Amino acid sequence: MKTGLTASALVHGVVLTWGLWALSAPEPMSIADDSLPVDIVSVEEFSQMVQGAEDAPMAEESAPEPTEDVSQPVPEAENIGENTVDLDSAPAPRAAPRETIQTAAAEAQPEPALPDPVPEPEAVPEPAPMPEPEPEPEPQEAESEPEAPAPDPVSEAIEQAAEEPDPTPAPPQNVPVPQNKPERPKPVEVAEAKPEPPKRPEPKETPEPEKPAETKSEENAFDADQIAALLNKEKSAGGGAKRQQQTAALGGRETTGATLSTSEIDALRRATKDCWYEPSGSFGSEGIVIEVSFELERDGTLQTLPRASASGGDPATRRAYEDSAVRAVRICAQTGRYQLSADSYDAWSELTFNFRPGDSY
Amino acid sequence: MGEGIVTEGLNHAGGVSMWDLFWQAGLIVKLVMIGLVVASVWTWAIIIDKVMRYAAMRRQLNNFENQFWSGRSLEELYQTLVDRKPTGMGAVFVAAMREWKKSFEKGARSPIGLQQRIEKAMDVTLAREMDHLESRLGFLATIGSAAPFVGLFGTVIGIMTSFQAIAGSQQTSLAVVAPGIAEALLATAIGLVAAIPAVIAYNKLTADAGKIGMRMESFADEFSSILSRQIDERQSVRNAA
Repeated sequence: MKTGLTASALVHGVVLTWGLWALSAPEPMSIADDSLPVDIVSVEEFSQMVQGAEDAPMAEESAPEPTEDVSQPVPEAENIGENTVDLDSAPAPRAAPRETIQTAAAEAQPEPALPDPVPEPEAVPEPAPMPEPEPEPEPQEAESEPEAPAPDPVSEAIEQAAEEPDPTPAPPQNVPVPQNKPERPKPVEVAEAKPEPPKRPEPKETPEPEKPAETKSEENAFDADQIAALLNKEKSAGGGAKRQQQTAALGGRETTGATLSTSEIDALRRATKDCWYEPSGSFGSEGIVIEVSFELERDGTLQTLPRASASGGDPATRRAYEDSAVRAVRICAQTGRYQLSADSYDAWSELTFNFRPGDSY
Repeated sequence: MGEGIVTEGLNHAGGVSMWDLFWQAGLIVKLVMIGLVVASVWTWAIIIDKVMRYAAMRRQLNNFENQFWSGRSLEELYQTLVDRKPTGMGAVFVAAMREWKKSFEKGARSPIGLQQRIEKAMDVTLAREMDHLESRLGFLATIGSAAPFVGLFGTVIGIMTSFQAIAGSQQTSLAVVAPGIAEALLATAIGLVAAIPAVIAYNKLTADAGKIGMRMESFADEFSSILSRQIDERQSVRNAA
């Protein structure tokens, strides 16, 4: 028995000492959690996504993959990265400055003509104002005689001026003002669209003569606007496209668009208001709310006819307001007041405005 | 007590080696573990002893059987064995021969009574030998059945203590719970380590002891029949004379 006991004790001692120290702590479990990087993109962010490379690392600014193939330049490229080589930016017609001058003149005219839309339903008394302006041109006959025949020769003269920069185009700008006055009512009778066509061709053709005109008038008289124009020598000309040279950065497949700032929407609303001639003096206009909705093309023209629906007030007055709102949108679209940057086209492609009687004042 | 448990529980965050687990365990768990280790030592002592003893016994039985059936005279065999204080079959043989001699030295008696006395003497010796052979096997059986429960008791106590510690430290992270439970489970592990060999050895040793007992019994029966033939022969010789 003693041998058994000693042998057992010995073996136990050996096994325990070996077990307690050799079988020490097991390897601590390495909990490797392979986490997937997840970016949460809100709907707003997604809609504002800017073109870039989808699998590139994120950077401050999104940029598509750099273009390196120079073999096929795209002649009509517009955006950076669309073309493979740097192209000279082609001179683009600059329409904006002239246009604003024109619209300023156009705005000044309708003010006296404001009562005109009111008698619209009557339609007959309108010819009456015709004789009234007639006496006005008479005293001016001496000056207006050459231009008297029609507005067309004026635009022709401007076109001629485009080819040969003459000082003559300057006076015609002022002169047509009285002429337009009598003409205004006519198109209103026949169709609303007519008064605009003369304006349209003008801005497109005129920009070239504009430059010489400015330089010449600069010599003649001191004008703050002209000095400002002088200072702003940088002419924004579109066209052409640069090669994309930035390193690719994370971004969407294409630029889906920026949002319109509130002020931009306000500006559109203001423009619509400005184009709106309220049916004044109508009875039962209290509580009317007019909702105009319309779709725009990229160039600011109307895609479809604007839709207006009014609520409250007298039914007949409501209809008059609806018509006037539709007209206001069409006028604004035709005069090019809805032109915004194409980047944010998604934001202004569909617009809806609410108006109340009296908003236009 | 409570504070002790709390600090103990907090200290559990240390090592997790076997020694750490044992050292960090509570008093009861430690006692249980130590007791189980001692039981294991004793179990293995018994196992080693029995295995050696049975092997020796088997060798002895073979030797004796060889000598017994070698054709030597029983008287001679008895003379050689009686001084060595034999065990096993030898002891049975010596007991029977001694009874035989006593009966015949003091003159003939009833042969049936002699036969009965010899068998009785052999049975008693056989029983004593078997008892000696199977001694301490009961301890193996006890360890085999009770050690798991003792280990489980230590585990339950240990887990209880560690839960008390968790309740005291007011945090339930796995790092706080794990060491206490591991150390408690160590008690069950030791209990199983002690119990499993005990059960296996008990079964094996019992079977071995049974086999040896059977061999001795069969020898006793054979020897008894030989002696009974001898008695009958002597009786007939005496009757004839």
